[in-house]
Amino acid sequence: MKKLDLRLLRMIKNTKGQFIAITIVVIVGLTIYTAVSMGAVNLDNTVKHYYKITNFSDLYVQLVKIPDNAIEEITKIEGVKKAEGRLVFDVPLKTNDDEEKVNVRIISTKEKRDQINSLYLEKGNFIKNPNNEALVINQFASARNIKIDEFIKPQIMGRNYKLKVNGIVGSPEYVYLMEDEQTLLPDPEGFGVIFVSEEFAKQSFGYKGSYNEVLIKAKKGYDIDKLKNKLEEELERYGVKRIITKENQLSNKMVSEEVKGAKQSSKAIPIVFLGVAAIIIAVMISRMVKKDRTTIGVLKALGYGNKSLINHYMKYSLTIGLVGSVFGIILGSILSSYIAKMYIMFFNIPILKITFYYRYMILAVVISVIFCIIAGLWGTRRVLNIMPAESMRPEPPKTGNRILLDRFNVLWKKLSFSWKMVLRNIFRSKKRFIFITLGISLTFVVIFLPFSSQDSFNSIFVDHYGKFQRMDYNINFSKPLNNKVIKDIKQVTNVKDIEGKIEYPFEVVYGHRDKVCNIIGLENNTQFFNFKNLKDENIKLPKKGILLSEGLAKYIGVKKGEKVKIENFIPGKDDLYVRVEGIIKQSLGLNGYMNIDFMREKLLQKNLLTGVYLNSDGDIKKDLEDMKNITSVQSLSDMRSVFNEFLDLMIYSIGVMLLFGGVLGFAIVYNSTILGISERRLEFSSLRVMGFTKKEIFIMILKENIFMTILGILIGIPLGKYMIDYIEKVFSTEIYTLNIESSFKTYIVSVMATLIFVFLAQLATMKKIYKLDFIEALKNRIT
Amino acid sequence: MGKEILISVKDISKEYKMGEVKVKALKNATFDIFKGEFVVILGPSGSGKSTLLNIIGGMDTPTKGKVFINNNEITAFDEKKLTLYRRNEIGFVFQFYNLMSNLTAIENIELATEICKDSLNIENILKDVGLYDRKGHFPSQMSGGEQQRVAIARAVAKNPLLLLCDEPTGALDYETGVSILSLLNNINKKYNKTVVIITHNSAIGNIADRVLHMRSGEIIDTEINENPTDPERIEW
Repeated sequence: MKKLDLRLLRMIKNTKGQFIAITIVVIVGLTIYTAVSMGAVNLDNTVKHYYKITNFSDLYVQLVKIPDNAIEEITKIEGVKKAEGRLVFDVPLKTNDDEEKVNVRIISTKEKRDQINSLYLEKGNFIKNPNNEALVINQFASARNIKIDEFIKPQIMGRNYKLKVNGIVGSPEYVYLMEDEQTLLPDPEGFGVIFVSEEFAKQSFGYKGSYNEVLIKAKKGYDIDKLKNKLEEELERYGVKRIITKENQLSNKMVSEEVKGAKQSSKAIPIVFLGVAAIIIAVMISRMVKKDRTTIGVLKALGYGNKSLINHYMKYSLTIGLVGSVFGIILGSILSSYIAKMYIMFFNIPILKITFYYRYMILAVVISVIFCIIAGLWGTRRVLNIMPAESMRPEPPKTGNRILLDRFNVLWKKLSFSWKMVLRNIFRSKKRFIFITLGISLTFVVIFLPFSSQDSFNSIFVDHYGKFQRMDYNINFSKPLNNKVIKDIKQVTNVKDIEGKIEYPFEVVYGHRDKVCNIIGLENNTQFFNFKNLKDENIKLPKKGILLSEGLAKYIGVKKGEKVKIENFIPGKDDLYVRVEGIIKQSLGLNGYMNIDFMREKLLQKNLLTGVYLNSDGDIKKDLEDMKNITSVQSLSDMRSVFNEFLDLMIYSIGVMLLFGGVLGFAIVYNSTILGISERRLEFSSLRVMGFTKKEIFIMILKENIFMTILGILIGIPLGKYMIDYIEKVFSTEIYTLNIESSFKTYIVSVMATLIFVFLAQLATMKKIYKLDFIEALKNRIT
Repeated sequence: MGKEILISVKDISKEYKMGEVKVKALKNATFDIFKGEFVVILGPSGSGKSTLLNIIGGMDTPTKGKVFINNNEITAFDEKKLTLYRRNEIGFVFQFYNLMSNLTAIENIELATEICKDSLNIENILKDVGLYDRKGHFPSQMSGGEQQRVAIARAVAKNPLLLLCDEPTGALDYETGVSILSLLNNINKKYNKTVVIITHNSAIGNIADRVLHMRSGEIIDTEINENPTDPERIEW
């Protein structure tokens, strides 16, 4: 081996603590990169493959009623490759627990192999006896422990049915099993999908010879939005309620957003880690070069050129890059299969394939090498300026300056001598001071963000269910009922407050933008909703006109005072142009709100209700169990328990992020302290000679670091807030608007965690100070 | 004299900045050094002798004037050529040895020889400096004298045209210093290497073929020793 390389190797061995600390930062960055990139691509490809083999639908047309023979005509519309009718209804499911309210979506299936949205059979068989057999979607089956040959009891049009479970299936439509866009999280125990034969569906729902939904496969390359508009016109007479494109289909949308998010974070997070590693490397090498000034001079005197000396130090950086990327790739690949398994848990894909993509492994090496080369070049740039002759002469002493603080005489005089020394030391090497302080800020931010995101989910929940919506129960009817139903409800159960509502899907159009969403009709002076405008002022529901949620207004690009068109799908009713009277804060879901009478008059019919909101101390679910026409009873406590389950899941990711933050903080503080110690050997030795104890010197360094840590945290707090604002903007989707208010507890916990990591790093450096041989340092000039 | 000129220094001056002070280190120095000669440059600290040595060794460049080695003008060399010149033609010995602390004695020597064209046998050199049995030791395990021997071995092993020693005994006690000087003297005789030593110790001048006296950046006197003293017999 070349002697210079041997020197490098021994140098690494002597500074192994630092070497390992930086390498771990690189490893963490690349592990995340490989694991998340591969995870995202694996998910993306699997979903695409799944869509292909199941013939995933391009358009979902929901309508009131369309006869069998009209389906054939749809096929003749330009751009349509294939059309299939089916029946879809949400109904309650009877379970052994009377308290529990479970909804299922019953979907008719023809079970032809080339059917649009064909089913993926996981267990059992397809339906053999069309009259009393059903297929159950896998997540629902496993959440409720439903087995093949068991019976399920849906309640259809008030009648109880008993269906034998013949198979467990997966459907491309329900990769992410959510009832609708208003739901915050999937609740596989409370909502499921059941597939039945077409005969059974037609019979039990009374839809002889007709369907209420059409699935459409577009011709390849045909503009789906154009086709959507055309279908809206052509099918108007069948009472089109809404047309959902593949892109907007709920499950598909959630999955694509997950893929998009994963891809984004697979880029952003590693850059933070590699960036930090690169800065540490650059600083470390530049210190090494500074420390090795005489050595470099000697090597130059021996005839080593600039190139070979730069290479020498570059190899240090490259070794970190290569060792880091090898471990990062290995760990990342292992982790990527865990991420894939996590996706299996989270998404309902029966065919997840895991492939190891060499592209990402190679990219990981390339990226880390690039970062390390840049860091190395920056660190070694001073090698060029070292003149061999000059390097042998002692360096001129640094000009001692008064620091800014000196000038605040009153304050300065009050400080103890040791603190004066600490502050002078800190401000003497400003670069190191800035580096450590910002490093600690970054650590704080990395720890602070996951805690805050937990807060944000908390606040989405609290804001929506509690502050914005204030009802204990939200009850939906299976079909619009007359006003009088309120009286019936009051009779069967003990009600404190009750208000009727209309919740109905319409298409809201402004300019070229449109969105199908539920418009909710509420009573004048409703007590169940608390509307606030964007300035956080309370506003009232207008008698005429409409209020739009912030997300909806943004999506279609409308401002207060302008008019939107509400497209009415109901036969015989005209479209309505209505003024936007206000834009309101709503953290979850997209909705419009109107006065119930105004809505009835303009869009529907008199005296209609689609549901009620009520407050009660009684056992509403049990009381309403026997009432006909009720599809769902949503209570605040149900929502709360679903939410808590989700929070449990989040704890893991917070733990992982915490660890990452810790690694960063540790590496930064440990490395810069060690560098500081070796640079200041002479200074410490002089102090030792003057009679300072090792402990006193350690405490002095500790004080320096405490000062910088506190400053770092103080900078980190606004930085973290800024990052959160950014995250709010980037990650708010149409479905939910993030409005993160970090709680006091989050600040405290993040500060504590940062302090602990800094302290641990400090503890690790203690040995170096205690081992410092001051006589040797003063006497010798061995390089 | 029928001696062949190895180094020809022509009217060189050097100025440099040290912190905020401008130092005139050399003023119009002119002299020649012959092949195989043992030369001592004598002067108090700050007289410009180190600067002179550095310029001859291609480690520094003069502000004015020319230096020829074997009729090549090294003052016209670029950085690359200077590096090659240092690599192949010059052996340096420093006051503070300047060994690599994490390389052993033999590795320190190999560090120098593995980049130059025709090096001498390292084992023989180690025997010559009397450290053959300590070749596996690290600098921190050796005394100052031993470290300086390694440094000399490192310089000689390159088989350079010229051995330049900057206060080689400056950090050593009397006895060790004498033994280092004998070693340099032996190498001068055995390998017929031109040796230039700079020192402030006038006693060392006695062992040289020629002594150049310097003061305030000028060569003020040249003294030729017809009969140089054996290093073992000098005293200070």
